Amino acid sequence: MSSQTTSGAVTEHSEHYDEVGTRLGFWLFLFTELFLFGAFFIVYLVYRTTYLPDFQTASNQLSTVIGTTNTIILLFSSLTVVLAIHYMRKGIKKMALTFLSITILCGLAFLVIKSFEWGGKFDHNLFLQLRGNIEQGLGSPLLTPGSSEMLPMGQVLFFGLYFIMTGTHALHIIIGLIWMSVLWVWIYQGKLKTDRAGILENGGLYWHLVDLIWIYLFPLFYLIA
Amino acid sequence: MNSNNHTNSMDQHSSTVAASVVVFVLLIILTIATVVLSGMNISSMGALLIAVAIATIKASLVALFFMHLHYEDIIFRVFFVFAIFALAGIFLLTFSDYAFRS
Repeated sequence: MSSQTTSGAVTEHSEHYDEVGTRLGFWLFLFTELFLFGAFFIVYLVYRTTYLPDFQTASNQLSTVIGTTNTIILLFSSLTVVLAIHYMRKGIKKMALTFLSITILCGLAFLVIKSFEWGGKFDHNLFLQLRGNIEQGLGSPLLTPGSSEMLPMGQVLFFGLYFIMTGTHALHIIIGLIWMSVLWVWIYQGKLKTDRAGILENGGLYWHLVDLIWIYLFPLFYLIA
Repeated sequence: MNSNNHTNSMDQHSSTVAASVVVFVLLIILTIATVVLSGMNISSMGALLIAVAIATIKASLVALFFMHLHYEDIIFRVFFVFAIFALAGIFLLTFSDYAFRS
């Protein structure tokens, strides 16, 4: 293995490029993501065990149809990423760009649906609130301790976890979308060549991980019968 | 390390597309299964276990085929299994603590 002696500018394609090493390194990063969401799931499971009836009542306010639709959209976008990488490796740029576009559109559709869902919860005063707002009496009545119409503790926790966990997930979708869009432009401009499909592949891995986390979020929030 | 893992022949490539589509169809079927099963009258613990079990099957399909763990060098799978064990260990330890709190 010949190593690169000069640091800085990466322009030449003849230089050493360890694709497997790059991918392995990216997997290590993905493991840290697993632990980030793992911590959320521990909190979720503890409170679910403690406040099960409240969690069931609160879960009924989430639409199964919306959740299922978003699940299918994400799964489909995962498939199109696989296909985009496949055609990139084969050197068929046009197909790679087409499938990457579909992925980006699916990600946007997911976010739009999610924002409508969140909007509905805002209207019902279920969004997280700041301590300062509560003290000034500006908090949402359903979540404000001491107010007569306040939801039971378990439901407050459910919606808190719902916003934090789906919010962190949505943030990952946004990062994934930015990444995919940049790659789309690079492929379109010819900056990203087929011998460097690994960069696209790591983007794909990230996208799949986000999908994988949603696979757990969906039944745990939407389907507590 | 074996770097031509991913520069497969054309034949393997077309089978990758077919496999991916099959995996996608399986994922959709499992999604529908989770939704249908959640509508049934099962105890809350049973429902949680079924939901997590189905989710784990789906996650495995995504990791093995979409994330290519199935085709990767053995070291990728070793790392992955270690990470999952570490995560499972944290879950187990946290809950053994939680279960014995008074």
